[in-house]
Amino acid sequence: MSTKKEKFLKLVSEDTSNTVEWMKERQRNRSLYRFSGKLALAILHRLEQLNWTQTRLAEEMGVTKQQVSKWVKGKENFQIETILKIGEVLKMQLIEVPQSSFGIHSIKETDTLVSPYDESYNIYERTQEIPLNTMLVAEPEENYQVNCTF
Amino acid sequence: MKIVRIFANHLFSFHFKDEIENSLKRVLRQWEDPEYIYKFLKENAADIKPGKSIAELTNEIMEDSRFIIDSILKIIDSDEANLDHFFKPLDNNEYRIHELSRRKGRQSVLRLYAIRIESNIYVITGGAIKLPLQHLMEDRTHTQKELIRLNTAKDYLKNNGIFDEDSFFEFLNEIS
Repeated sequence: MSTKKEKFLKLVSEDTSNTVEWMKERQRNRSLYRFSGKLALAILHRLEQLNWTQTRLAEEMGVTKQQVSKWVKGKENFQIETILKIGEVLKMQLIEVPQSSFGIHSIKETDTLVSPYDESYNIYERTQEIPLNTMLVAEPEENYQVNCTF
Repeated sequence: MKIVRIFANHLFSFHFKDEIENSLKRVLRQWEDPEYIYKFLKENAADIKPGKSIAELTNEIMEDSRFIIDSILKIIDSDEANLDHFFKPLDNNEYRIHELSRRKGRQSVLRLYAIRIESNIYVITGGAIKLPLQHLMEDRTHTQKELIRLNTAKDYLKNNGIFDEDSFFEFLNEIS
């Protein structure tokens, strides 16, 4: 006679895709995934503002549509050159090295850093120290808060 | 349709036929995809509380997904892994533990659905974004699908003898 648990375990296969290791990799590289995700979101939002398709962005950038698809899914480990070029094409500022990095360790009142899509969303507390030369997703040239009713 | 082991003899996941990945990995991958979430939220904007932007909520959902990953890994890495605190009854009125109880783990608007085999043994069936202005799972297509998956999973377990009355009586015979 087998118990419910034993019967259940007989139905189980091993996880060849190793989901736990996949989750741990996401955790280890959290900063990268978070940054790529935010950039993706900023691009998606800007495309909508401009009423551009991903195909249009691909054409303007001289890349394939598949490449743009990778960007907006947050799967890309972006090169700085690519980020700057996307910014130029979409007419938005995607990254910035804050003035406070040039020798001033604490972010001051005037150095409020915000995400590209919500001006009220502070990445760092103002008093928190950040490492020199840290790149952050920074304030866009224009505010593009979305109305959730669309 | 099969069941894969995620962690030891505690956490499992269904891998439904015709799907590329097991249900846990599938939903976690969706929840880290800004394009998928953004599109989903635009399609379901009526269920979002006023004052919250699509972009802001998309970012929050990605963060909540990271929190779920951290929570699961924390449970797995602890000496006394216990998933019972994570998975609560799907039915808020379930006051006694039912056999093969349908469960949910939640973080803000994210839901991870599972079947409870017994204490600290769960099989994940899927997950969903359940927005604040949506009340019942039956009310929206995407959560209806999750209900179907939960019920399909439960039937699969029953059909394979992972049921209760028989097992219960077997258990009684074993201890008598």
